[in-house]
Amino acid sequence: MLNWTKCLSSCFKLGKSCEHKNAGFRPNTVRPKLGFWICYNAQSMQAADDLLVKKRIYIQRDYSNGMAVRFQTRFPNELDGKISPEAFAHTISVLNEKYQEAEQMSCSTYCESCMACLTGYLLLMCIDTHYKKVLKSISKYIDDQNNTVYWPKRILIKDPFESGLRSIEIVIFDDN
Amino acid sequence: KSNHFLRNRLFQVFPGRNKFLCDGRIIMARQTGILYFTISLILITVALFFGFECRLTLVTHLPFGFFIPIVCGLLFLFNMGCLLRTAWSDPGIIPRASPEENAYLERCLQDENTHEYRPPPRTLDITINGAPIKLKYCFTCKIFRPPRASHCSMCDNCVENFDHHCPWVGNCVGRRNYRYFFLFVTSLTFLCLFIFGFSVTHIVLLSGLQGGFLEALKISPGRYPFTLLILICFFSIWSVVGLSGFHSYLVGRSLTTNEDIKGTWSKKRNRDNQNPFDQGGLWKNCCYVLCSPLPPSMINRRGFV
Repeated sequence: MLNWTKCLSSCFKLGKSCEHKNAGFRPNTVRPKLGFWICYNAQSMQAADDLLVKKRIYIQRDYSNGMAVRFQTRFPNELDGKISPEAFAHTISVLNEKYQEAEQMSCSTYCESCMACLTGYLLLMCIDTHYKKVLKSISKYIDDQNNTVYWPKRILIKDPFESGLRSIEIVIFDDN
Repeated sequence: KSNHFLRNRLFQVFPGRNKFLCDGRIIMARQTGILYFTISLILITVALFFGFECRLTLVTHLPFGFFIPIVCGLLFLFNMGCLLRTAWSDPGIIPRASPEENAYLERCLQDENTHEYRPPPRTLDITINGAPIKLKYCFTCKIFRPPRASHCSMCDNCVENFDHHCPWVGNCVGRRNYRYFFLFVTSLTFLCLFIFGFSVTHIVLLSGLQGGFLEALKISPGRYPFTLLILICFFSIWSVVGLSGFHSYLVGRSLTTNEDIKGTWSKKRNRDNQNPFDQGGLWKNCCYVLCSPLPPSMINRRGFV
């Protein structure tokens, strides 16, 4: 019974947030109404999945060294007893290093920018930039870590790029 | 996957006030009227220059005159490329917080002051390279804005490294399109000076051939467009040169227009005020602003919701 009401309330919340998002928006093309309902149902199914989620925590950015992408390495209390602080610190520091590599000025990125500029930025339509390549390797690394370290403990780390590199979302699931 | 055509893409439910073209590939502000005015002004000027000055006198009467249309054409293409890239790309919009993230943030803020019931503080004090900075909370996007980010009131989005909202290009100017904007302004300056210079050369040449300035104007078939051209160039040169000078100064100091107007790092108010985003030196700042690697767009406009 409790689950059912919870599910209902979360569906309601999601539906409301969806409406809110649509409020100030005039769609460019008129889509069939059916599409909206299917999307709505998909969302409520997702809400049912959410019941298994025990907690979500968000690791914030660390701006002390400037605007470069860095995340705080402080161990969150919620993960206590679930995973060792060393493993967690290792993951975050590897991520930080990779982001630093992505943003660093080097000869190759300099050449890339200059070549792109000389071709009137048409080059960017043909090649993947250095930044994009590193981002791909980061999402691969996160998948890998999730598979080997975190998912066995029922924890998932989400790619921070999805939230605009503002925070790392860590989802803790119910054990049973 | 079979019902993909029924599902919405992100750009169709995007919360900001933006306009999307080409199925979400192009993002602009809602009001784009002035952008079309900018484009047509540049197009008309260059077309008149090609049609009258270049064709009638310059190419035939100057040594190496054939270089003039070539250089002008290249400048024009580069200029248009930069303009359209500024106008059509994501300026660095920061995606809004999901309801879960918002709930987490509210909980954290409440934990800090558990004993008293009052609205949580909406600023966060941090230091960047030793300089204290306040991060403001954005009530629309439900996030603490990163340093240098600002909420654009026209587009209703938080934009990273916000410079200004430019109606002339019909988009915000932020981290991801500032360099295109800067190159657009600089190349427009060169284009303007180029066309103005050669228009004056044209009339001087014609006066020499016809024996007098007024005679040249009377005989020349392009006298009306020519006058229009000189007028457009003359009036736009001042603003464009001023703008590119201003932005060169900003690039050299690693500032944004927003910070310059607000005087965030101004020494007048506080002697020790130091811009923490200064990379150390003019050259490094230029490299940082114009050549540093750029992240891809944070909003996956064409992804399915």
